[in-house]
Amino acid sequence: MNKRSWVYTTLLLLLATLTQAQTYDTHRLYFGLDLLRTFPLVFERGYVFEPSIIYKTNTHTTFDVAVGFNDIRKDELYGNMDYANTGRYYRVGVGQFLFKERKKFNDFNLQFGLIYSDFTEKGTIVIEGDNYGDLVDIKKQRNQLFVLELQPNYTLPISDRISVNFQVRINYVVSTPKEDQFPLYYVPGAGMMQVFEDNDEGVHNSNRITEGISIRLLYKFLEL
Amino acid sequence: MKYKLFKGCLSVIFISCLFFYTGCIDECDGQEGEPTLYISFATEKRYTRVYGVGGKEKDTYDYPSTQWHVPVSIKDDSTIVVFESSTGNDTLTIRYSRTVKMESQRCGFRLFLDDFEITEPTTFTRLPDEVSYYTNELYVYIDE
Repeated sequence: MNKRSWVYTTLLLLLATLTQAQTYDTHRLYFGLDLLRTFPLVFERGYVFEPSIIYKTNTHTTFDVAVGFNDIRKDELYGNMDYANTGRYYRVGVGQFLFKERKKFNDFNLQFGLIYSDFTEKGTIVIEGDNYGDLVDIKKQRNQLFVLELQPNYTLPISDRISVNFQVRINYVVSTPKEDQFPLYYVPGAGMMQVFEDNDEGVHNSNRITEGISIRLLYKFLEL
Repeated sequence: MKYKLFKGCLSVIFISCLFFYTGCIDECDGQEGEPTLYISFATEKRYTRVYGVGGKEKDTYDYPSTQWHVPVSIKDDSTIVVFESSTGNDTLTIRYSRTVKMESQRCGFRLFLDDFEITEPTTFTRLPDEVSYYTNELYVYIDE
């Protein structure tokens, strides 16, 4: 047996081991922490902290409960406004394993969720006055919104207790947001409301469908 | 010859379009700084200094004129203008309302001034009924 054959054989054995059918007929409880949201990349400063508890049944149904806290800042939004968004959100979700047979590396799930987001957006506008001084105007708007979520996700096991959960999140903001001061920009738990260009009447519109990706670190702390 | 003429016409059209487009995209209605107040008089006045109270600019003059100008405060709801001369001082006060609102995503937030009125303390007696306001410019005519 030459060197190349050894390598191929080893690789095949490794793959066979990894994809070998394993038993997942237990009830499991995980603690999760969202990693991508912790460092919101499109904002200059701030954080989003989203811990979660995940319960997976022996029939591969997932119950997911999360609470999120955010305090994020962005400079020069809508031309000349410094933007801040502080609030919290609650998320509950139910998911189901997508395949017939559960194996170690095929943990694909589809999850439906409901999010309640309560947050305040604050905009600080400074109009420069060279002679007398600047005009500083602060605008605030609070929203309490319900959001529906569709979330395909995949869980990659790292060890027996630790795994990484990759999620695609597609959200629809059900409630009508208040946008009397400026167009709604970010819904905690749901993401960016992509603002369309102004129409002829100068009315601002926000897109109610948001999408994004997320990575969550999972720690299995109980197995029954 | 024809080709050169065609090229010339094309250049003129292109440059005209460019100017027209640039003009269009720069149009925003509200204030993004302090507007200027132009005060015109029926006769020449010999003021040595004309300035707004609380402002940094205090320009001095050594010639008579029928028109004077000062910046308008966007920090406050009124601007008090002082006209200094060797024979005494005059005062003109203009009050207005200020609203900051989002004009569009391109223009951002702008200041809109409205409800102009000339109030006390003002030493002039023959005052106009209204203040003319265009973006960045206010005009007052005093019939003295």
